[in-house]
Amino acid sequence: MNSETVVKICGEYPYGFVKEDIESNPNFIFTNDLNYQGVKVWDKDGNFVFVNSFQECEHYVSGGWDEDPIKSKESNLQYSLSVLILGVLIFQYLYKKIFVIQKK
Amino acid sequence: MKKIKNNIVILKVIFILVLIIAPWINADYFDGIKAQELVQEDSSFYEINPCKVSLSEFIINEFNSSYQDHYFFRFNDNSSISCFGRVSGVTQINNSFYISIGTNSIINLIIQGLFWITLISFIKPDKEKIQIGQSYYAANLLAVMYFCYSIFAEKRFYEQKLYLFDLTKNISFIILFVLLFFIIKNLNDVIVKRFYKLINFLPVTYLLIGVFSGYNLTIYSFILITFGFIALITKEYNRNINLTYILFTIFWIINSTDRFSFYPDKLRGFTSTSYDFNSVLSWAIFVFLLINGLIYLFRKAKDSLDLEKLLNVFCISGISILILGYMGANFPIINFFNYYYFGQQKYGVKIQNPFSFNQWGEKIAWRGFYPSAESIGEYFGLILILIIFMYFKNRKLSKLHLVTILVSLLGLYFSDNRSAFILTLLTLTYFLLTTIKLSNKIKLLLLTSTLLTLIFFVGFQNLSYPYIFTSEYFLNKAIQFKSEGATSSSLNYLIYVFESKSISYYLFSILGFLTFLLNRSIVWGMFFSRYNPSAYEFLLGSGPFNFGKLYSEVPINEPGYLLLPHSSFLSFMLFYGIIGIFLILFYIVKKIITERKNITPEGYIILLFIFLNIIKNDTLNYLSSFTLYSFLTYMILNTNIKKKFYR
Repeated sequence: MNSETVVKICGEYPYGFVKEDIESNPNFIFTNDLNYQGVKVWDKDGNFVFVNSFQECEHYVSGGWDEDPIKSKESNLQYSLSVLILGVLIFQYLYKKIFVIQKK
Repeated sequence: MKKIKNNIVILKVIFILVLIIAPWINADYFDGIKAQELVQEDSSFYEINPCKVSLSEFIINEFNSSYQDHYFFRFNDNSSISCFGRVSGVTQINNSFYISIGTNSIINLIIQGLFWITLISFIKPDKEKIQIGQSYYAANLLAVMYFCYSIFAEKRFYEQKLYLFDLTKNISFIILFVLLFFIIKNLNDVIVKRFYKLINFLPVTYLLIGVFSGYNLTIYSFILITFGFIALITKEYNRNINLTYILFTIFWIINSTDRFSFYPDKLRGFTSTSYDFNSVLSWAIFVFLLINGLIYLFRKAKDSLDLEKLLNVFCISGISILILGYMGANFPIINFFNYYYFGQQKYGVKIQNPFSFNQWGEKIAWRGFYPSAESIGEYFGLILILIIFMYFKNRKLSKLHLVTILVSLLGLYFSDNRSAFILTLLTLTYFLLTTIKLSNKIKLLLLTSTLLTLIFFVGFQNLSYPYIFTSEYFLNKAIQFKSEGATSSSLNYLIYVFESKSISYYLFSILGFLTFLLNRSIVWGMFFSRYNPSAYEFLLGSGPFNFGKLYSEVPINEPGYLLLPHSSFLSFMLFYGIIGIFLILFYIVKKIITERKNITPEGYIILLFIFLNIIKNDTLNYLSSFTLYSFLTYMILNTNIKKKFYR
């Protein structure tokens, strides 16, 4: 998972952020960050968790957890629709150009 | 050539049918989930399986829902794209079922936009196309940018309407830009080819209201705002109006430091949904462009006005409105489709019998298809007046006119708009007295019967109350609505005036008496219990088409539903202040005086009709009425077309 995805889901990296080595410490407990607005992340099976610090969020997102699948699906549909409409607009423009040139 | 044209018409009809049918058959037919019958005891199936059954499956399975009066289909614009046209839930309230149909505002823009563009394209194009030049493309782009800004400015409204659409992200506005550009560009391409014919189709705006479901936008704003930009780019505007308006705008935006929300209800499409800096600025720009767009349209197309065509469009629209209103009241599915495909601000009325009375024996105002009973009553009254003009001009009536007379009389009765009826009656009496040779006895009989009808409509009992009671009735009502601990500045002033018995007292007591006769004491009393302007706001207003401050600033003991001021004059006092109203009146009166020799009685009758309805109705808060009345006023005050208008 790249840092862009982390920023998209968890927000900007805090100044001086140091990624802790969580995997080598099985007893690691995440500390709540009172200044961090909680985020909900999902896995591929539709399970979700609330993360309460950037450290925790970054850990989950790096591990493959993602944003709301419903939201992603809707966003994809919205993007696809706008690309389709853009395509129609380009087609209309080209059709008009070619049609007008042929007519002339 | 003719064959190609026929094929295009067939293709358009097929496209319209696709737009009507396709959205409502959207479902996964292989998921094994079939529509189930709704029963009073259990409607859990649709709660467990939201967005699984299409509307058509539901109707086929439960055909009685399309005509039985305890079913109500309602749009849920805040649904996902994939849920479009499917049953997203069912709620049972008492014995009625409310079936929520998933729709998505983004898709609505495409479907409704394409549907209306295709309908407009059926109008035959002009023989000679209007020459706009390169400004057309710039105007289209600017119009799209403006509408994106208007959505940004009314974020609070759109957050509830656009499903999972993040209005804080730039990409969302890029998507909106693409979609709006697609609709606005194609719409204007169709419109400019028919520019000169548009003016004869203005009454259609009462039938095809054109408000997008889930938006505070109408298709007509797209057209008029583009024209507004064209007028500005080509410098075809009224400099004085624009400069004065800009001065007002500067005050409104400096003054907009508070934040209030307003639920638009039946004003959707022509009112701001919030009062704050951005929405005040957005609506100030909107009205600025609207005025420029309307003037541009009227100036350019005035010579194409064909009164007979205009009247025929009035007639056909009037008949359709009544029929669709009646069908919508009796068939839930027609009510549902009326809302979507005609772009209504709110659903048609549920009252099935337009002749019904309440428990006190008073006629219930039946609005049918249109959002306001008063406004549609005016529309039918106006049709009757225009038919009277036409009859006395040509001394003949077509079958369409005869049917329309019957329909308009019914529509006028159903709407219970007494003032429109009185004005129609007075018009008829005037023409009978001035154009037909009648004996003095018949003239006297005619005048007496008209006067008696007038008194009957005002109400005999209303004239029998003491003046002190009737003149202070609206003030007492305003005090009744006042909640403890908060009194509006206007009510404070009225209380002072009535207590001090100064010169202003006599003026306000006469106004109070007229208010009583016009049956406006309660609603105007309620307005003054709310209206809380500062001195500057009283003079210059708080911004166009913005009720947010009025309805949220001072809490009152309100009835629990939206009750508008019932006077466009009061609404305009709120929007433009007393100076704004004075300037508008000054401009019109000055124009009447300079053109007085060219204005015939018919012109004065229409001006009087418009003026009285502006005083006692919310009529100018609807885009259809605003456009139509502006057009009629412009045409009457414009001497170049007088030959067409008058005998």
